Amino acid sequence: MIPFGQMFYSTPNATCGYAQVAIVLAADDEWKRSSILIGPTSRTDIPVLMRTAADYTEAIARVLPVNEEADRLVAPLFPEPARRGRITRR
Amino acid sequence: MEQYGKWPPIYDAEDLANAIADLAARSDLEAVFFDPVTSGGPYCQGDVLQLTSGAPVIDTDGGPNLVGEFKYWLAIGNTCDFERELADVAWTQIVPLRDVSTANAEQLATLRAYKPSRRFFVPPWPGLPDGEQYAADLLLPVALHKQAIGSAAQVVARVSRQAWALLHGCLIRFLARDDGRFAP
Repeated sequence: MIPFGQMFYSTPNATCGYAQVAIVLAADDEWKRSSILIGPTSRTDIPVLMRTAADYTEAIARVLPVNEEADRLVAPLFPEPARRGRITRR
Repeated sequence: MEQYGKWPPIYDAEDLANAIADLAARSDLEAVFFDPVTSGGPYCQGDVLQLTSGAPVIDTDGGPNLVGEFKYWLAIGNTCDFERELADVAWTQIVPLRDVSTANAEQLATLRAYKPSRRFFVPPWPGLPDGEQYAADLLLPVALHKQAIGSAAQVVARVSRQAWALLHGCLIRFLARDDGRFAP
């Protein structure tokens, strides 16, 4: 049996896209083979292990639903920043 | 049994949802939000950087402009890209932390509950002067050369595993919002 984490770190270039989603290339059982791994890859840990990316995004959508009203409420705290000038070639 | 190092894994959707909800509901958010910073890297998504700069943007006229002046920034670029060679990945992405110390009670409660999808509340980190409060403005991403970190830009705070899960969830929500089925 190959430790899952060890195998992950042995294939660092085959992992992680923008959402830090990495397909587990091989593992010791079917569950892991079909799983997706999400997390910062330079830390000595594997924080999130999901069956599919859809599980992950659905969990986020459930606990952090988009709330336009909340965005509108805090919008006055974030006025458009003042222009400081055109960036020109040196 | 596999060894996972510092952080235990989150195994399924329920675990993730509970971890995020628990953190967002805590009254002592500051107490669990940050880990100690190790000098010299490795750098991570969620690092708070001190760097006084405006944000370069392409403005309404299609030209490059500098807007605002910000003292702190949040790294939202991939942690793994910090590890890659400069020849492969020279840049990371940061967003400015904006002063929200004038927020009223309702606005602050909304930010602390992570309800807004375009801003990410960063609780006061150790060493920040009393009364200062910031939230990351996800609408103003800026490319930062990785070599600036540790020299021009100093890491002043680093999120914990729980806080990283929350940040990552908020980034996913911002970049790939759901279809509305879970809207309140």
